[in-house]
Amino acid sequence: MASSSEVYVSAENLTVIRRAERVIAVVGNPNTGKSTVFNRLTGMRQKVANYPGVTVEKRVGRATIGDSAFDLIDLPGIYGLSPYSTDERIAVDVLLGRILGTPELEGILAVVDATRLYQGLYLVQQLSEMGYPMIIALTMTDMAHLEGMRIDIEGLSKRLGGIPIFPVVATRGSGFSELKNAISGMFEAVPSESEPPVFWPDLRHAAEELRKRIGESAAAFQVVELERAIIDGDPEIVESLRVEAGDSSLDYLLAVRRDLCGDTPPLAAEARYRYTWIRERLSDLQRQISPLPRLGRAAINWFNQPWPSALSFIFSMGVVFQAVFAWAAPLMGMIDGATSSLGNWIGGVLPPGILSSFLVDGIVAGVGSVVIFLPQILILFLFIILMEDTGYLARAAFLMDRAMRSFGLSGQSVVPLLSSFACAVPAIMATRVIPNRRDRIATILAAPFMTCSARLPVYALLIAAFVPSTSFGPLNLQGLVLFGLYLLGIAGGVGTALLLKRSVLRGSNPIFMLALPEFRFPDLRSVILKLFDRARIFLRRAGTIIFAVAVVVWALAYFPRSASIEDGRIAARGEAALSLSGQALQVELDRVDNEAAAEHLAQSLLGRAGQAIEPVFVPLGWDWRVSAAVIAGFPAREVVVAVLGTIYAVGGQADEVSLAERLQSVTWPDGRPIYSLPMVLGLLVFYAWCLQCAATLAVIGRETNSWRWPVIAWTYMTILGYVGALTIYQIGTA
Amino acid sequence: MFSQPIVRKASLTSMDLSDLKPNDKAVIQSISTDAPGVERLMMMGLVEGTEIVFVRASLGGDPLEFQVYGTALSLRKEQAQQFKIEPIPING
Ligand SMILES: Nc1nc2c(ncn2[C@@H]2O[C@H](COP(=O)(O)OP(=O)(O)O)[C@@H](O)[C@H]2O)c(=O)[nH]1
Repeated sequence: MASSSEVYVSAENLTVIRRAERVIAVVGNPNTGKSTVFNRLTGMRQKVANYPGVTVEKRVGRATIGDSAFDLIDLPGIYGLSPYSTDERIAVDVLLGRILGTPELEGILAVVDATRLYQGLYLVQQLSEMGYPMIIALTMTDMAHLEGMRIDIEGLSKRLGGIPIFPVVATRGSGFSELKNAISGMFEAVPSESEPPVFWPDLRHAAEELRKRIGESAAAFQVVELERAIIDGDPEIVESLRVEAGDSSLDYLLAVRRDLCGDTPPLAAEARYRYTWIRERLSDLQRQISPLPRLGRAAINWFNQPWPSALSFIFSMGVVFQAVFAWAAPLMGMIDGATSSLGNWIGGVLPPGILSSFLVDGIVAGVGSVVIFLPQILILFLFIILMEDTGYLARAAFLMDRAMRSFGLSGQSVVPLLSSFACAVPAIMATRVIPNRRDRIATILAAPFMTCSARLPVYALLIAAFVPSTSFGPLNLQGLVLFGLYLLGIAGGVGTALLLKRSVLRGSNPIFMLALPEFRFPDLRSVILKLFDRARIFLRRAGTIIFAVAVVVWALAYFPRSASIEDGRIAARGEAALSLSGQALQVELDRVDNEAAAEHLAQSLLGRAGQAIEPVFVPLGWDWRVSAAVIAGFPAREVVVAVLGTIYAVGGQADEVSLAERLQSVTWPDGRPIYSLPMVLGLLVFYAWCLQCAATLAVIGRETNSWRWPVIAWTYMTILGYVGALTIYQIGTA
Repeated sequence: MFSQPIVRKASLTSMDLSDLKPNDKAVIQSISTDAPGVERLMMMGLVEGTEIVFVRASLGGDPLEFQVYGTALSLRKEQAQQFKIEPIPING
């Protein structure tokens, strides 16, 4: 299978050997320290891309050992060659050489966790039977030692037919020089000498029998492919068998499978056989002496009890939120400040006009609207990664599974959903921990309903301006409305998840199986690497879209530019300068500028769109200005505050008090106030439910790998928000 | 050559994994291999003859935490019920 990739260039009596780098896959169960081994071998020289058509990350890195180099691929964790999720399918497909654009493997570095030896060896058996040269890195040997586990490594290697095994501590790097030596010598053995062992000969015989019966056309299939077809009925292989070798080959397949497994499901037969083999042949190589006393163990055990665990969960989520708001808010303030001073500086240097406006309100503001997300994303992800690496995320899922099941979800949805109270973007990115696709999509569509921090400025403005601060005993009406909006968000999200799971995403999750990793101290290096990864993914995939949308909205608000408004503005400024001076002049100049900005906006494409769409929103009590502001808020809902400032001629950067005063005074032509209580409550409900966030849409698109889900989510949430606002306004004004 | 392990008949007690008390040990006796998700669990080592320890139940009694070959696993009750077991006496 391993093809030689050496090119011999002969120059007289000198032979130069130039080889393309050998490709080695790093394979192992989830959470065995695979990525830590990979990172340590490759350092920072990694490339992260996506496998075609899926959101599974493909991590490739180069390891230089002595003077040879190797390309390592870090595959998603698997328990065996029968995949149950997209991640696992990708890993198996790479091993079978079925993925376009991924170089053909030449060797395997199997990573086995010493504290979970049997599950690792189950996979090792299957990998060995694939026929690649292979070595085993035995990780967590420090943990095994603490647990009092002693493994006879030489004996184990011998019973596994000579597969070399190297004990390491991946976090500390001990054992790596031996491991590296072994990797560089991996391809030097004479092939005939290192015929890889076969652990389940009956399966091998069955595959060879199948090949014989099919005849010539079976030559196109590797023996492992036939084996997987016998065990899993892998649809891709079965289909190509049918195409290549005709329908009769499927009858042969069934016959061979029946001979091998009888009536037992083949995968069950395989598990029985291989685990029994491991238990009976290897149990004497593993000795258990009494574990070293460790203070931490008792404490962790106590904390894993249901109630302490629930309390610690509430506490840690509290800390996460505190951190997101306490640390992110000042950083976001700084980014905001930096963008506006950069904008002001450009506005001061360049003459007013299209270039200045494009740079300031298009480019700088657009970049700002991307970067502003970074503090929250990084802080939230820091906590999520820490939870993941310490094993806490799985504990939280275990704790909350029962409760989440009543919403049709599973325990793994709980942290993403809670994160979306800070920001839906990292929350949706964090849904990757959910292996079940239907649960994952239901969680992704529920997340944007949760009241994120970007909704707060809108809520704050409208509540402060229009909801009377009457108190009912200790309860304040403004506080109650805010609380109600949070509840509305939760109700919307939970209702959506339930609805989806009862309809298009129906189907229980039959394989809710969660491995609960031991508590471990996280490795700083991999935490930082993962954090960089998240930031990079966000900037590259979501950032470009957010930026583009921001520029489009700028263009809509800028064009067409009316020369007469501009002439009027200049004339008015000149007049003011003649009659006024000092403070009064500045106030008048600002007024003139704000008036002109409002007039420009009124006749811009955005203003016209607001007027055109006004009839749709009149039943909600909105005039064209509100409609235009809502359209402009599409890329980012918090922008609506600034647009309202511009539209009502108090300036885009007006403080909330003066904007609120202005809003209270605007009326319909017949003198009724536009911002009546029913209209404002409706507007609040609209913002609680609608999906006014380009970043969220971009991330939904990326994480579901289709444009369909963002379109569905946006349409659904906008309709829901509209109907909510309509209902409240109509009831309130009836 | 090594052949299929002999699957012992389910014992008279017919207890399953969900009947254990915390820290109880048991050996898996027979498995309803056709139930959904069971093959996946077998792939993780829950086969006949495997020793398993029930650790604790989560809030509200479900899911259940078990220890198998050094791994802590969480199973929902309906999955645990697919595994018939023979308890191992504490001192044995
Ligand atoms: N004690 C110890 N911890 C390790 C070792 N290797 C990895 N870890 C930790 O185990 C956790 C999982 O490692 P990771 O590389 O992410 O595992 P993966 O899921 O297999 O890629 C991380 O917290 C690592 O820091 C090791 O040899 N000893």
